[in-house]
Amino acid sequence: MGEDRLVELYRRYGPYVYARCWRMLSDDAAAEDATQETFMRVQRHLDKAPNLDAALGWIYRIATNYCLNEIRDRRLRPEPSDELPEVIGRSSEELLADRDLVARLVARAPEKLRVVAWLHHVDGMEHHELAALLEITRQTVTNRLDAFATFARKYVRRTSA
Amino acid sequence: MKSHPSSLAMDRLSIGALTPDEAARVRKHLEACATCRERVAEDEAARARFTRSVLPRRLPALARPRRWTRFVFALAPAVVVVTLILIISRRQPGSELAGKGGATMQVFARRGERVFLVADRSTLRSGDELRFVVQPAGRRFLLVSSIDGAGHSSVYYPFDGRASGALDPRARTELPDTVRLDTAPGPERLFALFTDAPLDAADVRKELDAIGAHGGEAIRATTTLARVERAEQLSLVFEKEPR
Repeated sequence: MGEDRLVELYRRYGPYVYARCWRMLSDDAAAEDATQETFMRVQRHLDKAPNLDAALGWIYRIATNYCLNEIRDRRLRPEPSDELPEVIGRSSEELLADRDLVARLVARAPEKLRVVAWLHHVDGMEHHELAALLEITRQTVTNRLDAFATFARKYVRRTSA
Repeated sequence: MKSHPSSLAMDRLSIGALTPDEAARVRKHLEACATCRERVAEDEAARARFTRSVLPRRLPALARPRRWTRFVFALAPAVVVVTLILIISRRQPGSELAGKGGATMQVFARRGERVFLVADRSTLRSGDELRFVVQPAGRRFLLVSSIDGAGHSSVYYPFDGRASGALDPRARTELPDTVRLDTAPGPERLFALFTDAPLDAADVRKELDAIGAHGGEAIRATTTLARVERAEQLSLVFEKEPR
């Protein structure tokens, strides 16, 4: 039964997870491995999987965490820090509206801020969507995004100095 | 809604998991936003790539029944102990098979409560249960197959599979299935074929059957499969005796 369910989830959501991983990792082979690893994790926690319609968000979260770890560990996406700024004089709002810049900053951010920051600034999720997906309160979402904004300002200031 | 819908919202639209109001809002945005339409088109192309070329190769590894799960957990501590003994003593020459490219394989056998590392040319008994631990050293696919003295070829990884199974190319991995040796006496040779692209198991079995047709001495003497190209090959032979 569990295998049947896993196969059903893989056939239905595998393409979406792959597209998600490909967008985050910018590499076909890395996206393929990330998708496989995501579903191996799904298999380990299959008893916690929501019903079929709600499962995409749950699997999305697993895939996002995996890809962020890949980005952090293997530096697939981030570039050397001296290439970060053309940011002098830009406001925090302008900095955080730049998806590419945020993607690079997220890889350097503290772990508990990374998923929230990526999902909000790069993927465009609203606070209430984030709270539902990550199963945290909206206040926690706000706090983590504020902390990320502070981190981003400090990081950019340090590398621009 | 912020300036653009989220990736998840667009995916949910695609699978019909948004409420009618949410779906209408996202569709309205897409009609007006070329950036998001481009993003959706890129995602659709990626999904098509997955369905066309990734899913057929990768699904079998997930779909394979895990018939020996209980044994996996029972064996895991023993594997650690045996591996440590091997590292410390290094008194078992040939116990870990290693290729020129760095790929390795260890074969562990369980007989009753005892678990031991299988060396090349050792003797095993029918009923012994084998498990495999591999280090692919960058190779992404593996086919473990065998030919025995009765001339019967088998695919052990992926178990009874039609093609090589995918592996994490960087991780040391304990393969998921256990092989219980049958009663056919005589030699049995294992081949571990590490590759960058999946092999067709039927082609490999054809070559194994040809070796088997020449009898036990050919099985003992043949350490590589000549027709398998661009593979790192590891091989081990053991003799089977009745329990």
